[in-house]
Amino acid sequence: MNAFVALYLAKDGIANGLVYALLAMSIVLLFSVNRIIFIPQGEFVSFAALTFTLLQDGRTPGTIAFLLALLALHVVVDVISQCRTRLLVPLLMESARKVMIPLGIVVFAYAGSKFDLPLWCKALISIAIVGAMGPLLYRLVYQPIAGASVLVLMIVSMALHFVMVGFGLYMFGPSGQRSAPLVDGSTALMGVPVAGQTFLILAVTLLTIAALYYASRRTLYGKAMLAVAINRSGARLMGISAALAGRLSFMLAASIGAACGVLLAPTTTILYDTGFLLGLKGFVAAILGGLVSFPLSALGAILIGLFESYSAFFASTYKEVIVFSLVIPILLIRSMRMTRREKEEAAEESHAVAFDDVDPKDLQRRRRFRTVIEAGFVMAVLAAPVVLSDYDIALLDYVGLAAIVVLGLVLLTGVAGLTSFSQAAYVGIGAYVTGYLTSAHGLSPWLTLFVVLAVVFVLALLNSLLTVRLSGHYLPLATLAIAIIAYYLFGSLPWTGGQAGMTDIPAISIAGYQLRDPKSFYIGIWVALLLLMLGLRNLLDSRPGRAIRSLRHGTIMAESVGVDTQAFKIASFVLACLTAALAGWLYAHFQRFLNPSPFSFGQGIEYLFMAVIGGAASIGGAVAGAGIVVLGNQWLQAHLPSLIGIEGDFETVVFGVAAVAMLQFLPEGVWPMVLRLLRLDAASPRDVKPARLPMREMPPRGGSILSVSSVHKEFGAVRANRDISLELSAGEILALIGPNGAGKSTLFDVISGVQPPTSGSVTFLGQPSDYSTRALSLRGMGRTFQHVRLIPDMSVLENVALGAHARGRTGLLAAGLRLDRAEEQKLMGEALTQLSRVGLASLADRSAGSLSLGQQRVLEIARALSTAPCLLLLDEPAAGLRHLEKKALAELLLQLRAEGIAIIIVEHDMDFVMNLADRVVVMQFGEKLAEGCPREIQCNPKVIEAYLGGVE
Amino acid sequence: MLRLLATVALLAASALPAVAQVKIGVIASSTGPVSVVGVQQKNTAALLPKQIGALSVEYIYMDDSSDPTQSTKNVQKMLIEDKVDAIIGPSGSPNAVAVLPFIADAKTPMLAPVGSTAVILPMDDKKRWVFKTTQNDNLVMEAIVAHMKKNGVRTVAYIGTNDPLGESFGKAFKAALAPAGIKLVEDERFARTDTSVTGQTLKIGAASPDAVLIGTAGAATVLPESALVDQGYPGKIYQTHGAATPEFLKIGGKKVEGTFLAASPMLVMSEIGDDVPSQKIARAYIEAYRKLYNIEPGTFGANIYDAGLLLERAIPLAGRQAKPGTPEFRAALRDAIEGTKDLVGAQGVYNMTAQDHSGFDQRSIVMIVVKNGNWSLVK
Repeated sequence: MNAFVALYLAKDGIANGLVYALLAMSIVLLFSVNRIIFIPQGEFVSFAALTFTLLQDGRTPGTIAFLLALLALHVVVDVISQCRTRLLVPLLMESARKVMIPLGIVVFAYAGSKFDLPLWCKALISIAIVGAMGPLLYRLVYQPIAGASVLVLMIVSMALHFVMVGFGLYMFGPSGQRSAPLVDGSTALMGVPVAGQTFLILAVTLLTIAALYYASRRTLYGKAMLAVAINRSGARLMGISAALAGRLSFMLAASIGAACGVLLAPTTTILYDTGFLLGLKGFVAAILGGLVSFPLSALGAILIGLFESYSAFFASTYKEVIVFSLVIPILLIRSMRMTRREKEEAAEESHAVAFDDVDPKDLQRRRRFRTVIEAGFVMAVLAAPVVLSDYDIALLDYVGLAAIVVLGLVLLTGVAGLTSFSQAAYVGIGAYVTGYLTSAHGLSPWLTLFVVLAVVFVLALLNSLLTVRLSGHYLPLATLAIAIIAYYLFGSLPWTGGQAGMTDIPAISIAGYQLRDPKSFYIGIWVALLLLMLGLRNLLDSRPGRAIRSLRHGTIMAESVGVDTQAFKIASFVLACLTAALAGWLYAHFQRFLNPSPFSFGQGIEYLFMAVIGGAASIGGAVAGAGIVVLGNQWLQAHLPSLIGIEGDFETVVFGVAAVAMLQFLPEGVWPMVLRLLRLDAASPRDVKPARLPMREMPPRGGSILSVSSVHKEFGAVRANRDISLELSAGEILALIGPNGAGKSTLFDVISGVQPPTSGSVTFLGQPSDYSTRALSLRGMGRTFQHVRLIPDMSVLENVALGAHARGRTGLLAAGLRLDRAEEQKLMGEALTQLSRVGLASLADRSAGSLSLGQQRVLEIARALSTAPCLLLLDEPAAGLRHLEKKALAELLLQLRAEGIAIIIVEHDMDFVMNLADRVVVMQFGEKLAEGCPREIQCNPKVIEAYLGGVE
Repeated sequence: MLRLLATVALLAASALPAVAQVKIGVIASSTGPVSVVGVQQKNTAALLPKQIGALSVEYIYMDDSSDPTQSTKNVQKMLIEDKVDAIIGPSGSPNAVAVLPFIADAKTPMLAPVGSTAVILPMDDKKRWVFKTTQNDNLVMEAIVAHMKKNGVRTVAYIGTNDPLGESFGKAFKAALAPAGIKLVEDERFARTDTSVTGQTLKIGAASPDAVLIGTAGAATVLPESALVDQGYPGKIYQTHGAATPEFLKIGGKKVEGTFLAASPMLVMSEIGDDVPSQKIARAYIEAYRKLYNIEPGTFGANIYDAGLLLERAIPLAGRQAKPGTPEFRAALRDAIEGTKDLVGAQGVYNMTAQDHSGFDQRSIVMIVVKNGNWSLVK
């Protein structure tokens, strides 16, 4: 490579990078204003570019009709959503007024397409058409679910991407177009020819950056968007509508994307699906900029352009692999810089439907009904090959294969709350490993099954060590990158057969009988599926299962009862990958042919759709979702062309629209809805007898439990704790009081290991604290939370049993195989004992989410007691309790004290505190104001002034 | 009222198609990466004969989204549920390879409009049910390589898309190069939707081969060529029949002037004398297609048209031996297609044997050069 080539590549890389930069900035804008990870940004590019070229050919582009359709839909949605509360005519008028401008664009563009206008006019018309789509898409797709989690918004974006590409194919056809140049000629820069068009792109990029910067600082609308980006609820209080900011940001993003399209069209061939990869690269750049910084994203985009350009030169086969690999290290660095508190906030909020109280007889009846349904399902599965045709069975084979993959996702995404787009990639790894070993080396498929599982185990473990520590939306992004990388590797590695595929894979044979036809394979697939479903159900109802179910609700609570959240996250990830690999192994020997497309990232998204549609957190949902999607897709493919009479990728469109509608109207999924309608969603009651697990050795009465010495804690310039020292001995109750903002909660966090102090030290049971909640919990520190942290969709008893997690030993495999019943009885017995102590035993089978707030606080105490603590930290336990309940609580605490447990209690109810505590510490402005027995504190003038301060 | 209902019912009944006697499945990739090929093929399916001899024919069409797995699903549906007597399709070579085991298990003839010879060679028990209606990739490549050799080309570079199409072209090209003694100096890949291939073309330029072959289809054929031209690449540029589409000329404009490609004689109808037997059929096909869709077809659709011609000759023969819809009919149909002799199609002349299920010879390929923005026969 000589200097000329190097320069030429650099020029090309920068020219491409500029386009990525524009896209990246739109993506950053949309994310910061709306929290939407907007995958279809690239579609705006192809829409505008192809509209532009069609206008040049003197044809009327389909995008005009598309825009008109969006307008009509907008009015319809407006009317439907408000017709109950308002009169029709004014409603229609208002809605029509809202769509005036885009309607004007439609009319203008349609008229414009009939005349031979100058090129730049056509460019502007194209940008206007596509730009007008932005706000409409926001109104129709995102506004109804503006409050949903980042993840749901991201899945909706994926669906929208499919819809737009499907319409793109219909509107523009499969062939590509190229526009006449907007700027002619080229100049030589250091010997490298640079087209005038490149300068135009550079100018537009710089102008856009400047305009965005100016707008966000100086204009009213820009400031409004910025305000929403910084603080949504704050902006709402200021009277700034998030919907307005959303529409504005979408208009900007769509226009910028459209401008890219118009600028690109003269330089290259644009196809209906060109936008996707462009958008993804813009997206990678946005990630490099942390999804927040415009200048960093722009720089990242240039970097990607350069990277791409040089890797195209050196290794064009692996170009995409190299570019998308950039994401992983960046995400890792990003995630390491996140503090723990941020992580906790990023944890998904749960919207579990709490089930109501039902009388035991009814429960019994429901349980019987449920058993009947399950038995019926198994019977139906077994009877299917006898009743159904070969073709139906073949379809059910695909359903079963998909359901196995989705089952892994149910565990990983639905239950553990970790989203992965890479399931399809692991199916592919499983399929390719067995395909290669059996076809090229003649190994038996039964042997390769173990090889497949071993290989995937190692890969998934490595992968999860890298990615599981990523939290929030970073994990899905990393898995998306991995899915893309894997797909390109399947198509380019020398031993996979590349894009042409791998043939001659043998069928599986059992005792000489070959499983070739759909029916014999059906048995293999569905038996495997049923066993996995059973295993997963067993697992979820066990000690490790409860730990996995707790992961979705933030890590601090789980760690506070001794759950190794990191290990369980990794375990869920690896398990999900292993089920995917098993499906891949089955797939390879069923299909007897492999090529990369069934393992593409699109397929990975489809698996997620299946999980979401079926009901992400339910085992039955895996089968329901796989069935609906696979059979629905096949049906649409067979019947849609004749139904609507035109050709196109319409099943993807229908599919995407269905997914969006689903997430808007039925976020819980189909299967949970069915269970709810049949009133089968209640937890089944358990037969539990109270029991006790072996206790830990308690420290001697009066011996030192906790020693806090000169703790300082600072958050930036804010000093939350200053020079705090405390001593606590076994069998003592210490109350921590003080006005709001006095630093009590911070001190609680420092003591319980949620965060280390800036200086000073904490000693627990004679050993220095290592500021790990989990380690402290294992050593005997139990706690409750000011804002209750329970698992609302688990029963009260199970929530308490989670507390005893560290006192059991059952592993994942034993739990799946139901070898844990003896220990499970003991854990449940212990939980029931603690529940009786706090007086909630009668509610054991209710869902935790259905309890009153006061009961939930007491439940947290029972959970903390299940860890067999010698120190109990209680954060406002009496808040929300009625008088008698408070009395019972006080009695319980006194009894615990008698058992030798030390207690620190933060509480605002002075009567409660003063009658209970042995000693009281008063805090104010982060400092210790006073310490003494209740009587002393009540007479302390400093305390009186702090509480009643400024009276005189 | 009753009479009205009866009339409506009668009308509805008469609007329903009569139950056809022969069922043919058509699978094309009208969406996805192979759609450049597949859309023409799907469109051509409408031109296939609805009545062959005394038998009416029903065509059941399905799109496979260019995805081999979807092809196998489609084939399974057609074989098991629709009980088709033969299948035309799918569009892509890997797709056809993927469905082979299912076709063989169901003992149903398949007419595959694909380039790769892997579906019919080496002939075995599975492949005896498959017939190919496209010029073999290796025929195309041999024609290209022969032209290269004649013109003194010693070193070549290949650049193809990283999809099944680009890969099978690359494979066939490399196989044809070895016997001719031409050396492959660069082998590059790009994505169909890439907006820049500068890195790849610079690398090719640096290796300065005497010629470059671009292996892909449709609009994607233009980008590498225009990049090479922009960089002032001095050698010859070749395309496969994948470039034999109107948009190649439209998008490429002046930049693709002088490109060589090997394709069906259909492309240069006016220059071909009556000595090329396929000329008349090709004309009829182009005319029929234009009448229906208002645009000229590329060569890909003709593969389906030819499949129809093969069936038109074979179905009456098979019909004499067995009733459609039976395994006997399908076996007889297979035998009849294998016995096809001197059938003139839109793309060439078919002579099938038990060993050769393609039946095309070099007559089906001509070398074409782009001259003054149009196709021109290389003489």
